[in-house]
Parts: sequence; C-alpha cells; structure tokens
Amino acid sequence: MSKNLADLQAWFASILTRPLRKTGEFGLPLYDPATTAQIDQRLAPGAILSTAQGMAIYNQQYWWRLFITLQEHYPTLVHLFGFTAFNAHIAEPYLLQYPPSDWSLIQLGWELPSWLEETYRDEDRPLVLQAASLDEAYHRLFHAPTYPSIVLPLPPSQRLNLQPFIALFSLDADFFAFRQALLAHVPSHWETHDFPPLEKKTSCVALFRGPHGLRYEELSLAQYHLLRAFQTGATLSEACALLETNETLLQEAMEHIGSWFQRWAQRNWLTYA
Amino acid sequence: MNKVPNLGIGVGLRPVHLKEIFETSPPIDWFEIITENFLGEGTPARNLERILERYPVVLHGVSLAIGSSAPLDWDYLKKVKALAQKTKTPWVSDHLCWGRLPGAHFHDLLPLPRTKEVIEFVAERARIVQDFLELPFALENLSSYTSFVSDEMPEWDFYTAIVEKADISMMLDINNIYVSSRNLGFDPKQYYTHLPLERVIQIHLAGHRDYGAYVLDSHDQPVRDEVWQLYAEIYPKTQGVSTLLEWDDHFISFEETWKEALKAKEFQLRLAHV
Repeated sequence: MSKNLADLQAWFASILTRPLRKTGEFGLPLYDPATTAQIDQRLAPGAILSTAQGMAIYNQQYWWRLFITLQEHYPTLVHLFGFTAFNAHIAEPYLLQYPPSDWSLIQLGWELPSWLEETYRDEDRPLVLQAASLDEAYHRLFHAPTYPSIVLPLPPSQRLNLQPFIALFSLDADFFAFRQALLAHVPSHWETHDFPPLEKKTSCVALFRGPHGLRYEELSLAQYHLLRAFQTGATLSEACALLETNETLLQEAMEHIGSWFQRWAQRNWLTYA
Repeated sequence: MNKVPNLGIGVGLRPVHLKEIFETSPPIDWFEIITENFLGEGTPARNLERILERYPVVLHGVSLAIGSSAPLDWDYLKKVKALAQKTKTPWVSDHLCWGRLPGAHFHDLLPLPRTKEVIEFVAERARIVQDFLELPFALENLSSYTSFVSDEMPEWDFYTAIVEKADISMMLDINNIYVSSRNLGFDPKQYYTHLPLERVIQIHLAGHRDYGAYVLDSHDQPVRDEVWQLYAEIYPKTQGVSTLLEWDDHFISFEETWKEALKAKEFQLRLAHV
C-alpha cells in the first residue's frame, strides 16, 4: 500500500487515541488549537460539526469502548473506586501503557493486575490487588478452554494438569464473600455506604466454571496442595510426595484421596499433561 | 453474483439475551453473531453450540479492518474460516473501514479516504478474503462523523467501485446511511439510488441518538421512522434479502427486541400488497 494511506492512518490514530481532558460545544471532547489546525488540514467539516468535533466523536467512542471493556473485566475494582475514579486513575493510565494490540478485546485487561502491582501504592493496596486478581480470574475462567477429562484409574506415573477453567487461591480474608456482597449493589451505592465487612479468615478456595457458570468452594489444605501440584504438571506420586513433609496433610490425603479423585474426575477438573 | 438464501428477519445475538433465548426458544428466523466474540473457547463457544442446535447463524465481523495499511491478519482470518465452517454461515460480513496499524488495534470502524488508490487496495484485499473464506463476503457501509479533504468521490461511488471491482456483496446498513447523511450532509436517497442493490445480501437496521448537531449510531434505541422509511424504499429494490436488527446497549428484553425487528416483516408484507 502507498505511503500516503499508511501516513494518514498513523496520523489519524495519534489524534484518535489522545486522552482529552476538556469538553467543548455539544458535550464533545475538545482538541487544543494546534491539534485542531492539524485536523483542519486533513479532514473536511461535516454538515454542522467542525472537523475537530467530528474527530472528537471518534476519540470519545474509542475511550468509552475501552473503558467499558475494562469495567466489565474488573467489576470489583469499579465498585471499590466508582466509575469516574476507575476510568481516570486506573483504566486511562493502564491503557496508555498497554493500548489494545490484538483483534480481541478479551485480552485488553490481562496486564492490569501486574500493572497495579507495579504502580498502585495507596494504603488499600492489598485489597485492590486481591480484587484485581479475583476479577481477572473470573474473566479468564469464563473464556478458558476445556481439555479431555481423565479416566480413572490412573497409573502413579501419569502426569496431570488442572483444567484451565479452575483457579486456586490461598487467602487470609474472605475476599469471595466480600466481592459477592460488593457486587450485589450498583457501584454508586458504595459512595454513600460503608463497604461490606472483609472477614479475616485463612482459607484455600477453588474458583471454577461448572455447568451453571462460575462458582467457588473451599478446599482443605491437602486438596489445595495436590491441585497446585497438578497445575504444574506433576504426577500423582510427585503430588503425594509434596504432602509427606506434613504428617497431618499426608494423613488426610491417605484417607480421602480416592474420593477426591472421583469427585475431580466427575467434575472434569483434571486433564492429562 | 453468489446466490444466498433470504433467511428472513433476524436479531443480533447478545450475551444479555441468552438466558431468555434458552428458556423460551423463540421461533426467530436467524441470528447474527459478532464473529470476534466466538473465536475463542469457554462459555461463549458452549453457548454458540446451543444456539446452533436450533437456529441459522451468520457471522458479522468488526476486526478485519480491510482498509488498514497493515497487512491482512492471517491468523485472525484462519480463525474466522474455522468458525464459518463450524457455524455453516451462508456468508461472512465485515465493514468497509480501517481500524488497526502494525502492533495496534483501535477497535473502531474508522473511515477511509475515498480515493481511486484506496479502491484498488481494498478491492484486492476483499477479493483475497472472499477467496480464502470460500464463502460470499460482504462489506458494510459505515456510520461516519467525518470525511477527508483528499476524498475524490462520494461514498456511494466509493462503496460501489470496491464491491464491483472485488466482485463481493454488500451488507447495507440503512441506519448508517441515515446517520452519515445527517452528519456529512447528503441526501440518503441519492446514496442508495447510486448503489448496485442487486449486490445486497443483507440489510442492517438499528436505532440511533439524535443530538441535533449530530447523530450517533448508538444501537440502543428503536429504529427511527426515518430509517423505516428508507427501509421501505430500499427493501423492494433488493428483491428481498435477510434483514437484521442490531441492538447493543441499554438493552431491552429479547422478546421486545425481536418485536422491534418484526416491524420489518410488517413493512415487507405491506409492500407485497401494494
């Protein structure tokens, strides 16, 4: 293709993706005079709107679409911050660092938890990071594939994997109940109400996609360690060996491992590595 | 031209309506899906399988960006082809626009400069896409909010030249004609009377928001009377093609959405008795 089109599109993109802070006539984002002069050189005015106002509609649509995508991906963060603060303090700076680069918007927010890890320093950092991690897991599991299920019995040397529609969490507070209570109301509700209580509680939790959607349930510590081992492709023998350092866990596993495997196989939680 | 079936009146399939659709199994003629929403796996893929058990499905893409100066994305096109085979879609459509650069995707349907050079460029790529997909391929006209100083012709001539040169089909969005006519200042009748309407294989209808100074293609309202009027004028000239209502925000129930789409049938029956 000619350089003309490539140059024109590169220019258009630079104007399109620029964050605009001020609003002008008709409630449209406002370009500064220098940019408006540039736009006048390339675009034609509309029936009523000026060239810069026509361009501003594309700019507004671009940002709104991306903000809405991230809002849907991270509902807990939206409920914690409110829409305006989420857009201004999380979505916009994140998108400036990680602009969309793929045809799929599913991936748009994948880097947000690690970006928050690097950049978010306020005192509620642990809560915000945990909220982002849970939201990301809900989103990822919704779109995760399903691989063929294991068939019992299995030889001890068989390498196993956890299905990608399961995420494991080791928590020091009941974040799942907190999230559920938070999302039970619209974000604006929390502007005038205290957040729901976040109960201190050590627990292991599996978030998974079942036949009726995403659910979570608590795991015993032994179950959690076994499933974590399978997440990295361990054999049955290797997973059990991990428990040998803790007599209590080993004892629990020896008693229940048969029924656990039956249950995991029924739910299709395990697949061949 | 490729012959494609007239599927009747359809609605764009949106996740918010799935529960209602699965529970009530409405006798709707067909669904259009946003291609990109079903190129992955997980819950969307499983939901699509359930839809395919009962309904014809047509693929409508938003990310091809046929007019982008970046090379065609073959990984994306391979996924589209696989989905087309899985769904048995009778045709595939996307937009006459651009929306990406190497390493960047803007997720928007951006306007192209209407020049002879761009016609050659887009027509060649459209022909390649149609050949690769081995299905009729249609390009949809955009809602526009601006145009370029370098434009050499009106949109109807640009659109016509591309589909004729590429020998592809038209997916005619009647709401987009209206929205662009208001924003850019042309007569919508002048637009459609200059199109080769025998190439139209599908019509889109949607609602828009009228802000006075400009009109936004919002897909969150009932179809406006002005757009129904254009539909009444254009539909008979196509000899009868599949018609679809898009509704993408401020959702109403599926039943109400479908009822809005069925107004198209009233227009079709009314016209049949004229």
